[in-house]
Amino acid sequence: MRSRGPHLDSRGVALPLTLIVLTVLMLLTGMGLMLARLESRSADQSLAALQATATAESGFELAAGRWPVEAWDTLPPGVPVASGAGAYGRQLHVDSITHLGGPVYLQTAVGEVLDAGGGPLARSSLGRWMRAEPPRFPDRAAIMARGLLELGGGMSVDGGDHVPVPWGTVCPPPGSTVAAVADSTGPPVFSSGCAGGSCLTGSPALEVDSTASDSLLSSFGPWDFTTLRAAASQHLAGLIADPAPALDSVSGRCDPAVPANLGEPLDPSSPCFRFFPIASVAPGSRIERGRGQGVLLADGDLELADGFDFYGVIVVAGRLTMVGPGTRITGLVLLRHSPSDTARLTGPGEVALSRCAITRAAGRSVPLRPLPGGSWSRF
Amino acid sequence: MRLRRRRHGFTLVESMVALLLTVLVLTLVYRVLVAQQRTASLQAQQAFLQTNLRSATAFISTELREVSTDSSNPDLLAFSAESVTYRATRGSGIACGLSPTSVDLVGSPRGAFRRPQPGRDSLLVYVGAGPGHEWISGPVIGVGSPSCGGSSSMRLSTILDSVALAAASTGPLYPIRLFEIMQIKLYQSQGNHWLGARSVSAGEVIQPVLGPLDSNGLAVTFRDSAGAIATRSFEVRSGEVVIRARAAQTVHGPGGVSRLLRDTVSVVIPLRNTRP
Repeated sequence: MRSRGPHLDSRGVALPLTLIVLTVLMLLTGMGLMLARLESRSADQSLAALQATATAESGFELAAGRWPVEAWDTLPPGVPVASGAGAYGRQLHVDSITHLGGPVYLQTAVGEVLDAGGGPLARSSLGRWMRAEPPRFPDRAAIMARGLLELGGGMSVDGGDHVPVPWGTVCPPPGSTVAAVADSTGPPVFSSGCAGGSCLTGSPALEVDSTASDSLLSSFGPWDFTTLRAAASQHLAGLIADPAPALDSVSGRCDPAVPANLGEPLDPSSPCFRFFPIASVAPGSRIERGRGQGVLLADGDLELADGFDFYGVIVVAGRLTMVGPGTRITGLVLLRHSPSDTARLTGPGEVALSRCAITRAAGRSVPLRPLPGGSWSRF
Repeated sequence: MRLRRRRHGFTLVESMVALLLTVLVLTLVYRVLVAQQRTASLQAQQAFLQTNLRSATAFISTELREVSTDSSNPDLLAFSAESVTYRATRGSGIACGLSPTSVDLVGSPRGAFRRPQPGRDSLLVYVGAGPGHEWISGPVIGVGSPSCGGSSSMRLSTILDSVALAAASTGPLYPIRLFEIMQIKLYQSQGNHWLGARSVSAGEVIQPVLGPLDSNGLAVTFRDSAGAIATRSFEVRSGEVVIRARAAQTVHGPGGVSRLLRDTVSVVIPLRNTRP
């Protein structure tokens, strides 16, 4: 019987040809995919390396923000101290600081990017040489002014170099006595309680100093009023009553995040004894009672009242009004108000020169700066 | 019973049709293969070109990122659109001791891809001895045995300014930078342009780093704080580099037209050691 089905012995090339074509196409596709994967991995690796460096750099800035403000100059040389760490998803950074002695420090930050399994994908280690550059304040008088002054009402101004009583162990012996007041506009107006300048003590008591210009009173060596204000950690405005040291409730360390924390000048055992902030004070503010130390920069008029006790440097761009009782400044007062305006210090109160207070406030208040001539480095 | 004769082979018409179909299929396959080969070649050339560009920008950025433009200690020694001569950082570290003839390093240099080489490298030490003497430099003339007490520490023989050392305001530890003077430039060799580099301090001749580039394949621009083109090192606040590269081989595009792939990349160099 004749079979109507396909012939079993028929020949053809379609199947082998199709298989060959498919194989070639698969090989080509595979090669393309492999190239694409290599490119993708290379791009991923480049991106991860960039992310690791950026993460390490962010660590620099965060570490600067979390600086152990009260203790950084007491770190023993050569010993790295952890200064912070952070994580953003799969990006981590670990930061440290090493005191090299004197004003020089090394800040290091290691940034790392992890893959999905938690393994390291990229790592970047950076270093930054830093230096403390304190401002240099003119200390030729307890009060230096370029505008008119009115003194009276039980106010006393002393150009003798005072060592604050609680600071006896950290201050050098007092230096020479300078003028109580140096004013470029001429003698102050003396009212009741300071008749004839009787409330001034100094050598001389009063100096008419034509060099007490706005430039002298706003340029402080490597810093000026504007750059110092930009470095301020405390920002005060309006009525500031009873500024006092504040501690972090968890760590027990001095807490610079509290705006009215101006350090602790009276208790050497307090963590805030070494905290000397730069405080920027808005125009028209009034600080009453309380205490503080550091550098106080007033953008405009400022009133100090009712026993506010401050150790350090006060620079006032507008008019200063100082009323008692018991309001006291130990350090230096620089008054930049217009020559046609009058600053009134009518007590009862006291302004006393203290080079130790000036030096400690200047040296501890400013943030570290990168070393000039090459700071940033791969580590 | 009458048996039919079994047929073998194809008829002429069948053979013709099979031949025609085979030719058609093979032609199609050939065209696909050629197209695939061109695509693969194009992709390979593009990948080569982009790798070249990426490597060139990474190399220049890495080399120049750490240069200081501070007038007291400039690393950027000379520059034009097609050439930059600079002090390239070859490691950093901390010194535990200084003398006019030696610097003792704590551990080995960090961020270094090789050991310090006498005759090639120099060092900078931060001593803070006043204007013009903040960093003082000296050549590395020898690498000696441990000196800081650690097994991986290192003594570098050098010649330092003894007056500046005596006036040092820092210590007991000192920042150290190791560097060599390098030059990168666009140069021509055997009819092609290349990104070349050489160690000036080691007296090397220029060597190709990457390429080939176009004849205007390297353009380096440094800008001052106002964004204007800087002409002096201490004015420099930012830098940018443009690389114009071309492929090593021609590729066949659509229609079989052969062409040379070209690509350009422009990147800003993040200079980290400029004055604010």
